[in-house]
Amino acid sequence: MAHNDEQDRETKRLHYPLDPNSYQILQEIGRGCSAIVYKALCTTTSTVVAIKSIDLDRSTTDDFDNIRREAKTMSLLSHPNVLKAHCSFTVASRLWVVMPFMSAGSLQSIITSSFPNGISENCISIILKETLMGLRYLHDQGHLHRDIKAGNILMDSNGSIKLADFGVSAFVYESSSRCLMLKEITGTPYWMAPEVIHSHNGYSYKADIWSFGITALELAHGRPPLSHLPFSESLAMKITKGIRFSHYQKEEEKVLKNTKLSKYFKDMVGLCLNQDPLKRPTAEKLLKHYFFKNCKGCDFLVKNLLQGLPSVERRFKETKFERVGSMSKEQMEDDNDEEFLIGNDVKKIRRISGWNFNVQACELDPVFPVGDTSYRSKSLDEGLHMNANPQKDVFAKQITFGEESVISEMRGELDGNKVSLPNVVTIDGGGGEEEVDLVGGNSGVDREVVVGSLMALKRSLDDQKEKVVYMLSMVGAEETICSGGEHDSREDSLMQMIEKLRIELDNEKRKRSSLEMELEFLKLHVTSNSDV
Amino acid sequence: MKGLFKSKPKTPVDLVRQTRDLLIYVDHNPDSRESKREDKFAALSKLLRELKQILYGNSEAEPVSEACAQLTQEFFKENTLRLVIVCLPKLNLEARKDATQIVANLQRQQVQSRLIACDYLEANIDLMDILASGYENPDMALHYGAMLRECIRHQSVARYVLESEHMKKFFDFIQLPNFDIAADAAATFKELLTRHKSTVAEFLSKNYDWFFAEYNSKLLESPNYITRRQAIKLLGDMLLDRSNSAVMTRYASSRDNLRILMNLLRESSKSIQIEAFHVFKLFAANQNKPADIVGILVANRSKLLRLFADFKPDKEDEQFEADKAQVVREIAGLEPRDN
Repeated sequence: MAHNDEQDRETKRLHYPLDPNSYQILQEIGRGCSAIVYKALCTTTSTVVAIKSIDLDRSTTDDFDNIRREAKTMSLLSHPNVLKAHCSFTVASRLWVVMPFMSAGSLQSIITSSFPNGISENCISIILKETLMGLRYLHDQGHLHRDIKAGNILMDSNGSIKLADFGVSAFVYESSSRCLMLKEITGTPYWMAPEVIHSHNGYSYKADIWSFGITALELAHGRPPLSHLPFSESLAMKITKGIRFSHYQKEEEKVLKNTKLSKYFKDMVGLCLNQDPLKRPTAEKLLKHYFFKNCKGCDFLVKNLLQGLPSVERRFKETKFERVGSMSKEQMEDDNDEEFLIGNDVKKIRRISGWNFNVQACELDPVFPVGDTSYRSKSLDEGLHMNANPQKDVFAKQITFGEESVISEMRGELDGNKVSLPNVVTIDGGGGEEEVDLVGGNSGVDREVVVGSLMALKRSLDDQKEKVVYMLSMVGAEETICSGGEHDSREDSLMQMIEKLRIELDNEKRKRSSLEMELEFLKLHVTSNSDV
Repeated sequence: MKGLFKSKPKTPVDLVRQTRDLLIYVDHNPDSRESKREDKFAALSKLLRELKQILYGNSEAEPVSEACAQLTQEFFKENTLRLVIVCLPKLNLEARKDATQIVANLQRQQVQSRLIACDYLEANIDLMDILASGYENPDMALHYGAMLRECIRHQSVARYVLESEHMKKFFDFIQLPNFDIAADAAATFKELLTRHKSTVAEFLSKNYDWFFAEYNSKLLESPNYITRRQAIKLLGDMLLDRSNSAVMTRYASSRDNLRILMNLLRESSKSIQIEAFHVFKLFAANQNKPADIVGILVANRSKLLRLFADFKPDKEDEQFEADKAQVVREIAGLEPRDN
């Protein structure tokens, strides 16, 4: 099987053309902030493929390196449970990655469209086992996946399962230090392991195992744990609130009554969600867990999961509206990764200092920071004191992390200075506006440090504002349907019109000045030639 | 049956020797019986995997430095690296990847605080020719490319590649249609031109004419967006490096170069514009601007100033603003001179 697959790969690599004209785009099936996924027909091989089209002009130099790594990763992998790329090439300023088309889409989209309260344990065990085999292969190869979640587990019409999206996967062997640790923060917050969120110590393969455990809960409950927590009061959240909030409360009640999960399942998840990464099993060991014994085959999934499921294209259309919410979430995380099918769960991000896995209820109990100390300290144990104060939301992790890095840089500069930086760090204790007060109330703070961090905050707020404006414009297009205020929406659309015209004007101006410049060049040429 | 008499664990030295023997067999017996060959290849793949695990550890255990040192010493005692490189195309994908990672790792291994890989490569420098030519073969490009990039960590090896004929081919490699291969070649190209400062400075001044002629026409004026974007970024990195100041002065005195840079400033892509600015500022800031440079800047003064007026990166950047202010001052204060 594996051997065939490899041969397959060799021949396919030769056959898929590196030319956009050989692909006929059929339909958009997924979208994120800098990439779009299409279903397409490759006309030379007459096969249906998925094409991920990434806007390179919107990516920074660092992203660029990641994209390069992703392309390389995908073309060198060869495992039945890992999605590979047939080929990749550039089309103007976009990168096209041509991949096999997984016709049943992502598990997340399957859940969202047909199994909002989770899927049966029989199906889960098959899906997780296949996923785990892919993960074991990646780890063997020295790769971390770093973004394991139902949205990145894809299924084909024959029930085969593949792990996808290496947008953030890191190659351990390439990092400069020999020890297998990474310090960057990537991934999607709900699935992140505590040591990733508190990424002081770096993290390793075991962080993927954590995310795998969260994914197991996601499949069983229909959504990742904690996603039912209250929204923060930020503007961005208000926009999405109207769309989804009530749905979540209802779902939550249903899920709590779900006690059907077997003890094997709970035990397996409990192992993955151990606070101490060293105590979590490896993918290899986890595969031997009793939960994966007597697993049924992939055809079981076809019968039990895929029957009557709407097509990928239809699901994408149905979630088109929710997509706006979902995109906003992606934007806030500044997450370049795209899900194959972005479902309709709007994600709220809040600061959590640790997680306690409650084996009985098979849910994660969040642990919130008690004060500055639990957050600052590297020890997760301190985070174990429960303090479920729902007001402690932070509306975007991005801000928090941005702050953290700024502060830690400054700490280096101010070595020896006894400034109580932690007070600046805790600004994420309560939403944007309050941060200023917190800092202001602290008299012993070095002015430069405060100004520096405030500047950083301002930058990230500007950033957020930009994104909110973008979201507003996205929502605005469909606002007429949902919001009753006709007057408001008219005003909005006028504002948009003005904005559009302004942009056009700017473009024209730019064009004009570039033409003038060209003219000047030509003049220069003429004069210099005539001089001779 | 074999399981009953489990052999004692092999030492790193044994593993290297067995690998070498198998590689020699594979290299010299292309036509032996099919089944026998497959056995040998399977054994070879297994050995490579074991060697890799010694060097990198696995998800349970960190590598042991003593074992790594023994392995490295035995590896370079004889011609194992040449055998690995030569036989690589005959191995299957997984074995190729393992071998590539082994070779990469060995470049950093020290034996009695010496990088013995470097000594070996200096004595076998022709191996670089095989690795660099790898970009011409889509099946081998990513493996040989990764090995090459690790080998040029050694300054003497990088100098050899810089001064070789391969350097000219990189201008084509980085524009290959396969994105993964082109991107790999671009990473190697960048490494060659930025890693070892003194060697790069020497190379650029010796090869100034052909190198920048190629760089301008093939890369900066390429129809391919990615090529232009990577090239302008790398050009900035090179010219702004203190060790290349002589080259920078020379580059920033050429009217043709200025023309190319001004074209890049007009690109619709913000990323390219910003990177182009970082090179353009060198022309403007040059205190001994040749008359024709001054002429062009004066003639385009109003357009340039207008362009810079609302020209800023997406993320606030104080250094950029300061540079921009200086460039604007320079251009605004220019007086046309007579030839």
